[in-house]
Amino acid sequence: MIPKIVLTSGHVDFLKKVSELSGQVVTQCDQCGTCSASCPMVDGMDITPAQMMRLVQLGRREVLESKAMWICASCFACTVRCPRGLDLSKVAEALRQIQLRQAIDHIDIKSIPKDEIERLPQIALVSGCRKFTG
Amino acid sequence: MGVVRIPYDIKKVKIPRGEVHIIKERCKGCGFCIEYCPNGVLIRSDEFNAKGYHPPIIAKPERCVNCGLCQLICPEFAIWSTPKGEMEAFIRN
Amino acid sequence: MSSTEFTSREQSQMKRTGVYVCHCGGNISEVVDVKRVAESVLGQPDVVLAKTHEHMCSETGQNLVINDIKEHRLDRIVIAACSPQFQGPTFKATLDKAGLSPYVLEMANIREQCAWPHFGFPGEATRKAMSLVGMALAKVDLDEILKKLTFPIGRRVLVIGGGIAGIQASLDLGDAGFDVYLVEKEASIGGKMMQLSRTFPTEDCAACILSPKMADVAANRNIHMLTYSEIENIEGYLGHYEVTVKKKPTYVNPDKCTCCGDCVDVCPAVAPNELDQGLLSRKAIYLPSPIAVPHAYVLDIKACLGLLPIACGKCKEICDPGAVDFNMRPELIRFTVDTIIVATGYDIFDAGQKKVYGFGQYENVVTALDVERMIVHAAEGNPMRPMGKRIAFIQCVGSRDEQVGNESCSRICCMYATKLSQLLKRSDPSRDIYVFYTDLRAYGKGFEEYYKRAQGDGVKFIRGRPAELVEDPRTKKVTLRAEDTLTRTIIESEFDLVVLSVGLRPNEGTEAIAKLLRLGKSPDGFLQEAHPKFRPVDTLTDGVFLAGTVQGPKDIPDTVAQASAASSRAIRLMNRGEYDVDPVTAFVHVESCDGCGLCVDRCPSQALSLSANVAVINEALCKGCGSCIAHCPKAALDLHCYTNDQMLAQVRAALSDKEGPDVRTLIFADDMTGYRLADNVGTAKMSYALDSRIIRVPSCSRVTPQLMLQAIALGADGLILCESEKNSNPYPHSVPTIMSHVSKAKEILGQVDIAQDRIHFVQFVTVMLAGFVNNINRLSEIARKLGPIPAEPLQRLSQDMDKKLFGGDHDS
Repeated sequence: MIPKIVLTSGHVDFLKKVSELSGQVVTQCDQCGTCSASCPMVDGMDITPAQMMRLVQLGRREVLESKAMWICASCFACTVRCPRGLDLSKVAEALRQIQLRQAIDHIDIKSIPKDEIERLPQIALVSGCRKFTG
Repeated sequence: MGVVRIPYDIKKVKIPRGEVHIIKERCKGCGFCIEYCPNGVLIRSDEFNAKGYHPPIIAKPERCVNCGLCQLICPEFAIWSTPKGEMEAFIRN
Repeated sequence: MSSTEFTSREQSQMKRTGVYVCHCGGNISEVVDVKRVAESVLGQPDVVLAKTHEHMCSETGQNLVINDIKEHRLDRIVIAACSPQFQGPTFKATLDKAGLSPYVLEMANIREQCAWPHFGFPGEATRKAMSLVGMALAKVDLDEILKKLTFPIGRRVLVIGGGIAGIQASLDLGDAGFDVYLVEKEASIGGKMMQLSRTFPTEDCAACILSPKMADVAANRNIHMLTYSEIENIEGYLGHYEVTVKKKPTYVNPDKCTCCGDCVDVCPAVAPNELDQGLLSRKAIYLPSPIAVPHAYVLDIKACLGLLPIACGKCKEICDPGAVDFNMRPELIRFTVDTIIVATGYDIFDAGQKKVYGFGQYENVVTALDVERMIVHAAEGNPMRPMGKRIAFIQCVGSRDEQVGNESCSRICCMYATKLSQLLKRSDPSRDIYVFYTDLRAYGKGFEEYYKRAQGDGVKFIRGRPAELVEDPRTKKVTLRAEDTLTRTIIESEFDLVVLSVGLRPNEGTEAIAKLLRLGKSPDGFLQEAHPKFRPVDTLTDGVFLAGTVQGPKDIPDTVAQASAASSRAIRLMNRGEYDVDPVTAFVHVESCDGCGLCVDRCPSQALSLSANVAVINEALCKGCGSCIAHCPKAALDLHCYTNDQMLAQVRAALSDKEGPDVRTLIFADDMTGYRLADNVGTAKMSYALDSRIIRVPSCSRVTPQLMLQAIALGADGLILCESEKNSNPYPHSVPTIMSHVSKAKEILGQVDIAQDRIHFVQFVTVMLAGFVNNINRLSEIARKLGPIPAEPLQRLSQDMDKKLFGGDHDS
C-alpha cells in the first residue's frame, strides 16, 4: 500500500544523526542513481542505494528496517562514482551503527549448543555476533 | 580530439599508388631517399652493392603514393617511382 | 620633517558634512539600529546634519541629498549604506547633479561589511557601524576637491575568436563604424556552430543561419579578418593595446583560389577531418567547410607530405589559377587597438576521460557532436554509418561530476539531447530512443514546449544516470546499466548506439589569452566577469570584454545577446573619443621633495621622473597602485583619494572606540579582489570576527611599512593585507612590493620584540569566501592569544621610526 507520511521536525533529528555519524552532507545527494547502477549487490537488495539516501534525506527511520545496508559489500563502487563526491559506504555504515547501537540481542549466544559452535566457521560466528547481538 | 579516430570512410577514399624502382649499383649510400620519404617506405638494407654501400630496400611498399621525392632527391638517379593505379587511403600520422 | 608626523594639510575653511544612514529596506535596519548610528555623529565637529532613509539609492533618497546640499550648503557627504563598489557610482552622480565634486563623498559599508556578516549580533553590529561611519567621517574630512581625469580613445577593436560570438560582435562594431580586427585560429570563421545540424528549439539549420552572417563579416569594410592566426602578444592598456598576431601560412592564395577542387583529387595524403570530428577523412589540401569564410582551400602542413623539401607538389602542378604558393611564410602582424573583446569559445568535454563509458574503445559509443555531423551527412543522402534502431543518450557527461573535476552544469546538453533524439526519431520512427537524465533543464524560451514535443514523439526519458557501459565483443552492441529512480528498478539494456551528451569546457586557446590580459577565472574554469549581476560582459581589466561561451556555457541566443552587449560596452567607452577615469593617481608634495630620485626606478609603470630636482608624475601612465609611496624618505609621495593623512585618520578612527580588553584587527583590502571578496562574504551571510575593521585601498601596495607600524603603535592588535593573487592582479608588481613592505614592517617589529605574527599578508581570488573568513578569524584569534602589546615595546616602536625605516640617511 502507498505510505503516507507527515514531515515533522523529528525527522530532521534522524537526518542530522546520520549526517554527523557518516560525515557526509546527505542532503547534497541529487538522486541521480549512479550508485544503484554501480552496485554489484543491488539485485539482492530490497531498496536501492539511492533510495536509501532518499529515505535518510526525508528523515524516515524505516530505512533502518531495510536489508539493503546489510547486503552492502562495502566495495566502494558507489563512492568512487558518485558525481556529487558523496561517500555512500559511510552512510550505509552510519545506518548500521545506529541499528547496532540499539544493542538488541536477536540471538542468545549462550543458548547455542557447544558442539554447534565448534562446527560453525569462525566468520559465521563473528558476523553473527556482530549483526545479531547488541 | 583527445581520442585517436579512424574515419569511417577511410577505405572508400582512394589515393594514388606508386611502385619504387631502385638501381642498386648506382646507389652511393647517402641515405637521402630513406630519410626524406614522407611515408617511411624505405629502409637501409644490410646487403652491399659493388661500391660497398648499403642501398635502400622497400620496407612498406603499400605506403608508396608516387610523390616522387626519392626520384628528385637522389643525386645518382638510382631510385624513382612509377604510378601503379590507386589504393585505399591510410592516415599517415 | 619626520615621516611619522603627518601634519594635516587641509583647507582653513570649516567643513559642512551631511551624514546619511540607509535602512536599505530592512537589509541594514533589521540588524543595525540606524537611528542610533545617525544620532551618534551629531555631536562631531563639521557634521551639520545626520539623517536616516529607507532607500538612499532611490530617487527620493538621492533628492534628499541634493536638496540638503543646496539648503544647508553641505560640502562633504558620508553615506552609510551598501558597498561603494555597488552604489558608489550612483551616489557620485548624485553629488555631481548637486554641483559638488563626486570625490567629496565617502561611503561607510554597513551592509555587506557589517549588517550582513554580523546578522546574529545586532548590538555589536550597531557599534561596529558607528565605528565605520567614524572612519568614513575621518576620511571625508580630508577629501580633496577633485575632478575625473579624461583621456583620448580611438575607434579600433580587437575581437579574439571568430565563432558566432566574435562574428556578432564584429558585425555590431563594424556596422557602427568602428575598426575591427577579427582574429581566428582556424582557417575559417564560424566556430562550433558551423558543425551543428539543427538548432533548438526551432530546428533552424545552423549552417543556413550562420552562413549569411559569415558572408556579412567578409563583406564589411570595417572588419579586417585574420584567419589561421593566433595572438602572439598583447601589451598595453585601455586605448593603447599593442597586439602582435602570427598569421600561419595556408599555402593557398585566397584571392586566386577558385575552389575547383582539382588539388584534392591529386593529393596523396589523407587526414581525419576536423569538421566531422575525425569521423570522415579529408586530404592535406582541403576546404575547411562547405560554407568556409574565407572561401579558399588550405594546405595543412602537418598532414602534407612536406614542403621542406617539396615532397610531392602535385596540388601546385594541377592548380590552373596558380593559387597554390609554397613560398608563403608565417607573418607577424602588429597593430594597436583601443578595446578588446575576448570570444574564444568552448571545447567539448573529452569523453575519453570518462573511462566507464568506453569512448574511444567501443565503436558504438559516440559524442553528441559526432551525432550532429552524422545527421548533417545523412540529411544530404550520405550517411556516415548505420545509426541502428536502439539509441541511448547519456546526459551530464563531463558535467555535474566531481569525479572528472567539473561540478557545474553545462546548460545546453538537456536541450541538445532533446533535439537530437527528436531528429533521429522523426527520421526513422521505428527507432527506440532513450534519454537517460538526472534533471531535465528546459529553462529558455520555447524549451519546455520542445521537450513536451519530444515526449509526444515517443522519445523515452528515463531519470537515472548510467554507471557504466559494456561492449559485447562479438556484436559490438553496448549494454547500459542505470537505475530508473522514479520506479526504483535497475535497467540493463543493450543499444546499437550510445550517445554521450558531453558538456562544455573552456577552449584550450583561452588559457594563453587569459594570461596575457590578466583575466581571472571563475571556479568553473571559464573566464570571470567583472560582476555576475551588473557587469556580465565586462572584465576587471579596463577595455577588455567577454562574449559567448568563454564566460560560461550558454546557447546561441544568449551568445548573440552577450556579443551585442560586449560591443555596446566597447562602443560606450570609445564613442565620445575620450573616456573618464577616477583621479586615483599619485602626486608629489613638492615642498617636501628634495630630488633624491630614489623613487624613480620604483614605479612599475615608469610614471615617475625627476624634473628641476623635483619628482614628477605622468598621470596618463600612473595606475594609482601606491607602490612608490613607501620609498620616499621624506614622505613627499602621496596618492589622491587615499592620501597618507586619510589612511592614518581612518586607522585612528577605527581604533578610537577600543575599550579595555577589546581586540581590534585592521583589514586592508584591495579594490579588485580583497574588498570585493569581503562584500561577497557578507552577501553570502557568512560571519567573521566582529573586531575587524576593513579599510579599502586600490592595492595593498599602498600600505606602507610606516602605516603598518603606525597602526600598531596606535593600538591595532593585528593587521592583514588582502590582495588579488599575482596572476589576476591588475597592478603589475604589487605582490612582490607588498611582500617587501610586510617583511620590512615585520623586521622592525622583531627589533622591538613585538610578535611578527601580528601582520599577515594573504593573496585571494574573489571566490575564496571561506578562505577570507578563516584568515580574518585566525588573525583575531592570534591577536587575542597574544594579548595587548605592553607599553614598553610600543614606545620603542614609535622612537626613531624614520631611522628604522630608512636607515638614518638616504643610502638605503
